[in-house]
Amino acid sequence: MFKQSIKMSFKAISSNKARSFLTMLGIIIGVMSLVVLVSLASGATGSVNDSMNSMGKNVLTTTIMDDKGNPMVQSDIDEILEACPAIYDISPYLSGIANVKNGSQYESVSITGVQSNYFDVKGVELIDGRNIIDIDDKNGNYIIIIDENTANLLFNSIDVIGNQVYVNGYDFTVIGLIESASDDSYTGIIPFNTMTRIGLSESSYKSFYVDSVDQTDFTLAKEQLEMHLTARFSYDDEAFRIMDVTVMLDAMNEINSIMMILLGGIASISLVVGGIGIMNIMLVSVTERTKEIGIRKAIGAPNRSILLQFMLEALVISLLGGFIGLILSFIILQIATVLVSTMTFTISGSIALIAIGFSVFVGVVFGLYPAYKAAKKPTIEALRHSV
Amino acid sequence: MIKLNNVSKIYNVGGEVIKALDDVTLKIEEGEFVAIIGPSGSGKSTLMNILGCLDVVDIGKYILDGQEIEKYTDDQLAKIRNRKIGFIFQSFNLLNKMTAEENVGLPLIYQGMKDSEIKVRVKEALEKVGIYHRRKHTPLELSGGQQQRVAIARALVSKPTLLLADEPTGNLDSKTSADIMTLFHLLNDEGNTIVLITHDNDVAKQAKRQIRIFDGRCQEVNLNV
Repeated sequence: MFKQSIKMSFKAISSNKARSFLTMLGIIIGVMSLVVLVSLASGATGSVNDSMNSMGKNVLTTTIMDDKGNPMVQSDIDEILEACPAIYDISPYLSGIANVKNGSQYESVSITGVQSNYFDVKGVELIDGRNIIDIDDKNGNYIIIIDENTANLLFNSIDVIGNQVYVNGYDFTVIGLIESASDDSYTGIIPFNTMTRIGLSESSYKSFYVDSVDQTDFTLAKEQLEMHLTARFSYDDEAFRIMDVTVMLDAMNEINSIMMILLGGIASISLVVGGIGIMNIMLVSVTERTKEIGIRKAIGAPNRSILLQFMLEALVISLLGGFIGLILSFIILQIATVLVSTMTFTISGSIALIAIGFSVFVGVVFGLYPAYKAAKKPTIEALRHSV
Repeated sequence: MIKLNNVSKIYNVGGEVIKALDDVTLKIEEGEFVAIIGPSGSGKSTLMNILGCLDVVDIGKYILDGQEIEKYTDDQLAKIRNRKIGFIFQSFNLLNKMTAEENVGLPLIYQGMKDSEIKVRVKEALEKVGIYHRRKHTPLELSGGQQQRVAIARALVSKPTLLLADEPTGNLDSKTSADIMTLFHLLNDEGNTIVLITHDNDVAKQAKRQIRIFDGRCQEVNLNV
């Protein structure tokens, strides 16, 4: 009975192809806008997450804003390490921008002055060469680690260890090579003390990378650090700032998911409009097929089988539309991935399920009234109806 | 087998009360071939709707196959029509988008019968009316006479208690009409009860018993004398 009804509904749909397709188009466009918009939004979120992750492992970036005339020194750091058991290590750093030059090639490069524990704390790994060690920092050696972009620009090669570059006119030896964070970033790393020596930054302990013992959860480390620093700076919690990238990431993801819900909501409206299209055409179809309904009822079709027949028709239209919409979305997202080379857009299983589920819902809801109308037609009048 | 006891059917059309059937009492035995004749507006269609369980009586009793057809629900009436009544209409009333065999199988689908069983029954019915060779054609590809044969096959397929034919030859030429009437005789000889509704005396004469209906009242007549 059910199988027969499905067969009948396919027959009815295929016997009026143009009309069925146009009706389906509403659902196709609805599903497509839902899937494509939500997938684009989630693809963008994914890209942001990726680039965040490419910044290396998580650390607490701590900045002293106001030292109250009592600047931090090495002993302060030792104190923090002692007082905060959740903190694994602290790496002070300096930053500045310098002109890095080789022959006629030069570039403005963001320079970070670091101590030897930087590589461990920040999780930076060298592609080639060696790290900065304590003695480099102590002596203020003129050595530099550059990233691939800078190497390629200055030397047209990444085989750069031992080469000389000029940093703001000072002669430096390249001792290491690191990966570039993104396509347009140019970075260099030099010893902390060298930074002051060449006048790129004043010598101060104002910025720190803080690593936690627990590599996944920085909450405790942050709490302890906050408590300690508040006491250190006359109980002014505005004197310093501690940034946790994961907290920022969470905030960003929340914004993105709100955006996804919003976009999804807007797209759903078009799906509902598509559903109204189905209802409209089903009502026309029910009127046109009054005679057929009369004949079926005369030879013994119960009301529920007429109801089922028209419901299935609406359902098949919306489901087919849903699947076609899904396939088209897949194609569109493939094209988008090719066009926006830095991002990858894929359809997540859950959005596909939601889209199909929503088309089923639309088919049932908007098919119900026409089907009910068909089932309730009085047999004698329907039978008398001229075709 | 079929009993109408003091049956009346009253319509209220625009404030005017019309007695479409007025105190009709009628008895049709199993295996009979009865013609009901009357002009349009005589209550013929109302009588057919009542006999065919498309409608229910207002006053009186209709007993079909020992079962009193009272105020049943739509679905209960549909079930009775499906199993006990075989309809044959003037305009054939076949579904144009289905083939002959699909049309004939439709009543059995509504009985929830298995496909394999339906196939056997459909073949049997189509062979009986001599149209099995055209089973894959849709009604629009068949002549009027062929369409009516398909419709008769559809009426026969559920082995009903009563074959109810409403002007079955009304849309056919005289030669084809004669063929269809011959088929009815054949079916009657095989034991089928047939009630034929017509306005045509020549058609009615071929039935074994005639009932005339006029202004909602029935009267036994004999047209063959």
